[in-house]
Amino acid sequence: MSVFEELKQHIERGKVSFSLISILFVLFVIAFFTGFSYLCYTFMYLISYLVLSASWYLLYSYSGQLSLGHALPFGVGAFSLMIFLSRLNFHPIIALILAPLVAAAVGGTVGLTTIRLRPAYQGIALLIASQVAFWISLLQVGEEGISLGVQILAGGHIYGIILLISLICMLSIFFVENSKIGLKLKAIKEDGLASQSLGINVTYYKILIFFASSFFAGLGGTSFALYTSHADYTIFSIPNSFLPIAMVVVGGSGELTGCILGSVIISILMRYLPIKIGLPWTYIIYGFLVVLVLKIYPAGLLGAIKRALTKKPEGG
Amino acid sequence: MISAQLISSLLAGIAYGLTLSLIAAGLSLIYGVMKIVNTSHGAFYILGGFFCFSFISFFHLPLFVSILLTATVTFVIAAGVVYYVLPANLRVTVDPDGQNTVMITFMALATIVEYLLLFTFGGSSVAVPSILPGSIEIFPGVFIVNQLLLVSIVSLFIYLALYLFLKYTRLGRGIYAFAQNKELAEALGLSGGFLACVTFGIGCTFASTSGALLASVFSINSSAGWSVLPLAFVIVTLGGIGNIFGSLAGGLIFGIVYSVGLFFIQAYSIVMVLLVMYGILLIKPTGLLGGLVERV
Repeated sequence: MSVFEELKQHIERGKVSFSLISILFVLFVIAFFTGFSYLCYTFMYLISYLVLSASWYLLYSYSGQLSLGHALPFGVGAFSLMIFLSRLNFHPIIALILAPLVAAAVGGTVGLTTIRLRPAYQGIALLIASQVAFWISLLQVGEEGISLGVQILAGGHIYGIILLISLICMLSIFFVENSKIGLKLKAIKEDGLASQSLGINVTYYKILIFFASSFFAGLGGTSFALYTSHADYTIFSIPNSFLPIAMVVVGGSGELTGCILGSVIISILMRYLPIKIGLPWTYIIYGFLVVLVLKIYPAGLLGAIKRALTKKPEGG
Repeated sequence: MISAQLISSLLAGIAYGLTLSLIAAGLSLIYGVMKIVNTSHGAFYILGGFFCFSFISFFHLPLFVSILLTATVTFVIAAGVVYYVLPANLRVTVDPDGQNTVMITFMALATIVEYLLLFTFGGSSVAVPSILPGSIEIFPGVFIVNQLLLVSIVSLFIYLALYLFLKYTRLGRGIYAFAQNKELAEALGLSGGFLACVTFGIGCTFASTSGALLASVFSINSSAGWSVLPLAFVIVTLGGIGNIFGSLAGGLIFGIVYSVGLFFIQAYSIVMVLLVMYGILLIKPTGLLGGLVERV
């Protein structure tokens, strides 16, 4: 089968998420040329957390591993980028390539040790790991964190780089979930024992997906650090680990489309509501949104939309 | 006198660990019955602190009355949360997907509580006024803060009350039975949903009482819940998940290790405690004292 045929098949399988990725990408490019700088900042925030929540989604929906500490690879990516740029004076491109790799190494190694725990215990272990990073970063660099004194790259370049990162990341996650590996991982999630008896190396794939997910989370952290040109200890905090989870849950954890939908909704909520009604009410609304979605639509907003769409033909 | 200082630090650590272990005991009780990890436990801790603070400073009630009122109010809130917020089929669940859903719901609830408190009381720390100022000298050079001593004694009494409740009341024995064998207990006519509400109420009351007690020694702010939650996990893991009186022992171990660590490596002590606990969780997920103490 040629590459193009394969590509065509992939697109047919996940039409919606592919078209959503493209729409988002076009929107981002338009935002850049229209010159709404706050809109661009919102989009950079959106992209960072979109990549993070997509990586969490990859881990949760494709191997059933619950990470309550996904801020760990995210923060490690951000911190290593800042250290490479401001302390070690690396070339920006090398730093950009190295930072997610460091995140993948750290997050993957931590994940590797927790593979055999049950989901609730694994969640706690990863939460504790992220707290270790929280305290170490607080004690090592203090409350002010690491900032880039001088702008190394121009604003437009940063926006371009982040856009490229997100595109690469979303497309790779999209291909992973539509590949044979994705199928194997789905089988592992549904029934680990049965898939092992069918000859799938469960441990290998679980570790593989952990490294991949940490790499993407690191990419998200890298873009976050790039656009804020700052990294401090709050990046490892538990609410920051909870944000991607909330995004995926609100959108719907069954598909990449749901993950994109959720991150768009929550990012816009987080960036625009504080201007109107202040920070506390934003977070209260955000909490209620998650609770209500979980109670009323356990499949997420995407699941609700799908159900509404499929109901129509039956009724009429 | 380094040794006297070390003993003082050790005593304070034990008292702190004892009071903190109340949170872990609540977490353990909830896990034993509902099979879920309550990620909103830190929220109930700060809720307890702020309720107690409001009762004392706005209504001028005495400390113990405020603590009792705090416990009652938290019990009602927590039981209401289980009754109204959780879907009926998730109140007691062993299915990993269901457990994850509950954990995520409770994290969202904790976020709501944190920002409601931030909105009401502002971002600065508040402290419950202490009723026994000063400290006493037990041995030459060995000091302990009065309020901390009082607080740890109160915690011991709360443990005693819990023991009597679980051992000698009908409801307590029902909880005990349900934690041991769910199917059999349901077959004998115990309602899982009702027990889940009561247990969650009691567990969260423990967290809020601990918050109220510790707020009178230290201070509390709206984001303190997130830093207490990992510590509660540490203690639970030390004592064994689902094992209430293991939490007491876990709290003591935590207090000793933490205070000795503070004495020798200062702020890195917390990192050490978390790392040690992470190791224990990996090697023996049922907890360090998993098989030693009677399981509840």
